[in-house]
Amino acid sequence: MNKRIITIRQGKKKFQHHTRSSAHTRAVAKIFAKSLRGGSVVALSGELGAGKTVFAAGIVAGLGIKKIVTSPTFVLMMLYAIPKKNQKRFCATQLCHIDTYRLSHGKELVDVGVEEYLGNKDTITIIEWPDKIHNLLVPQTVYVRIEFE
Amino acid sequence: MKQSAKQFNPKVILAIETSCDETAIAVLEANADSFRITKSLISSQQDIHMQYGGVVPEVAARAHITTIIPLIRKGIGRTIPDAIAVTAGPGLITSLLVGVHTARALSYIYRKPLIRVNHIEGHIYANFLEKKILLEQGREATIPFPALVLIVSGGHTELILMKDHGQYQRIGKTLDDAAGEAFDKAAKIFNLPYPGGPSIANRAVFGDPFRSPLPFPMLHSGNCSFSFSGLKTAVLYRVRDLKKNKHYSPEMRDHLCASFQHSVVSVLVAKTIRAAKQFGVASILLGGGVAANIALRESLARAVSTMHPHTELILSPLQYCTDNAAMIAVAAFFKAKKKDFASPFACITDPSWDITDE
Repeated sequence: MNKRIITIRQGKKKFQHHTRSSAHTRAVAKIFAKSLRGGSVVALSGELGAGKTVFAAGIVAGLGIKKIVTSPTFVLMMLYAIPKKNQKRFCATQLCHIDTYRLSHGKELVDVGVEEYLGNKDTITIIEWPDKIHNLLVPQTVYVRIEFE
Repeated sequence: MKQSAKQFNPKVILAIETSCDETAIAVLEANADSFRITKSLISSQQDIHMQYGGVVPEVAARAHITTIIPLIRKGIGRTIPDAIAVTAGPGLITSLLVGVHTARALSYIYRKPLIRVNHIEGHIYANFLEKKILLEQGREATIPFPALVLIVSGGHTELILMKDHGQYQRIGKTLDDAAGEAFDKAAKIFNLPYPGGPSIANRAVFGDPFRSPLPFPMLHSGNCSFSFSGLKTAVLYRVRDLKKNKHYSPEMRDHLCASFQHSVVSVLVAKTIRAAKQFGVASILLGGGVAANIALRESLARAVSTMHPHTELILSPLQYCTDNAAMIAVAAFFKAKKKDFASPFACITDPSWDITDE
C-alpha cells in the first residue's frame, strides 16, 4: 500500500528509488537534499497523496531547517531560512516551497511574485504540481516524480 | 506617534487584511470600553472589480493593489481614522506587502498610529464579536482566562493557550496538511466542487459515518498535534478500491463524506478537550474558516458540556469565521489599549510570523 517509486531526473541523468513507507521516502529526500545548491529548482510531481509534501519535508530537514513543514497549498508559497551554519555549504540562504495546486495556470504564480525566488542564486526552490508552469522552469531543474507502486 | 499615545483612546479604527486571496477592510467604532464593527467589506463579495472593469480571479495576489484603495474609500469614505491596523503575517508575502504598505502610507499621511496584527491573533479575536460577549457591554468585553483557542482554517490548524491578551502558547499544530486543506483535497478526490468544506458538509448530511469508517489520525498520539495528510491518502485508497470493485456510487460517496467529516471533527474535538483538561482552562474558543462547519460546532458544544463542563464555550460568529478585517480591527482595539503601536517606517511584514514567539 505504501510502496512508492521515486524517479529523480536532471537533464539526461536519471535515478530510481523504491521506497516502502513515508519515513523511507523522507529519508531518501533528506539524502537528496545534500546535492542541492543555491539556484536549484526541484519540481515535485505525483498524484494527490503520493507523498510530495513528505518528500519536501525531507528536503527541508536535509537542509538543517528545524521547522515543521506544513503544506503550502493554501498560502501558495512558504519561505524558510536556512540556518547560518549550513548557508555556506548549500550556497543559499533560503528555501522557497511553492504549491501550485490551487492555481489554474502559471500566470497567476507570476502575479504572486514567484519569479523573485525561482532560480534566484541564493534560493533553493521546491515546486509541487509543476505541470502548470513548465515554461517558468529553468533548464537545470531537477524533476522528481513519485508514483504508486 | 508616541506623544499622542499618552491618553490614547481610538474612536475609529480602520483595519486592513490581505494575507491571502481576499482584500478585506473593516471599520471599528469604539467608546471607552466597548466597540462595534460598523463596516466589514471583503473584495470578493463586492462589485468593486465590476465597477473598475476587472474580473475576480480565484487567486488574486496582485489584484489587491487594484482593489484596496477603492475598498477603503467605500468603507470609510472621507472620515479620517484614529488608528490604522494591518495584518503583517503570517500569509503570502506578496499579498501581505500590499496591505502593510498601504497601511504604512495612510499612517504616515494621517499622522495616526499604526497597529501591527497577527492573522492568527485576528482569528482568536473574532470570538470577541460573539453576541453573548458584545451584549455584556457597558463593562469591558471579556473572556475568562486562561482560554484555549482552536484555530482551524485552510492554512492553519493550531491549538493555542491564551493566558491573557497578547500572551500565547502553542500547544499543538498540524504536522502536514491543515484541516481546511484536507477538506479541499478530499473534495477533489470525491469530485466535489471547490471550496471543499461546504460541499463535503452538504453531502455528509445524507451519509452514514459508520458505513465505511475512515481512520482517526493521531487520536491516541498522546500529544496535541494533528495530521490530516494520511486521512486524505486513506480516502484516496478507499475510493480507488471501491471503484475497482464497482461499489462506488453517489450514495457510497455520501457515506464517505460523512465518515471523512466525522474523522476530522472527532480528532479536532478530542484533542481540544484533552488540552482543556490538561491546562484547566476557563473558556474554549473556536476560530478560522473550518469553524463554520456545523458538525464541528455542534460536536464541540456537546463534548464541552459533557466532558469539560463549567467552561465557557465561545464560537466565532459564522460571518467572521473566514478571513475578514473585522477580526483584525478587534485585535487592534485591544492592542491599542496597551498602546502597542508600530512605526510607519519600521512595520515589518513577516510571512511566517509566529504569535507564540513573542
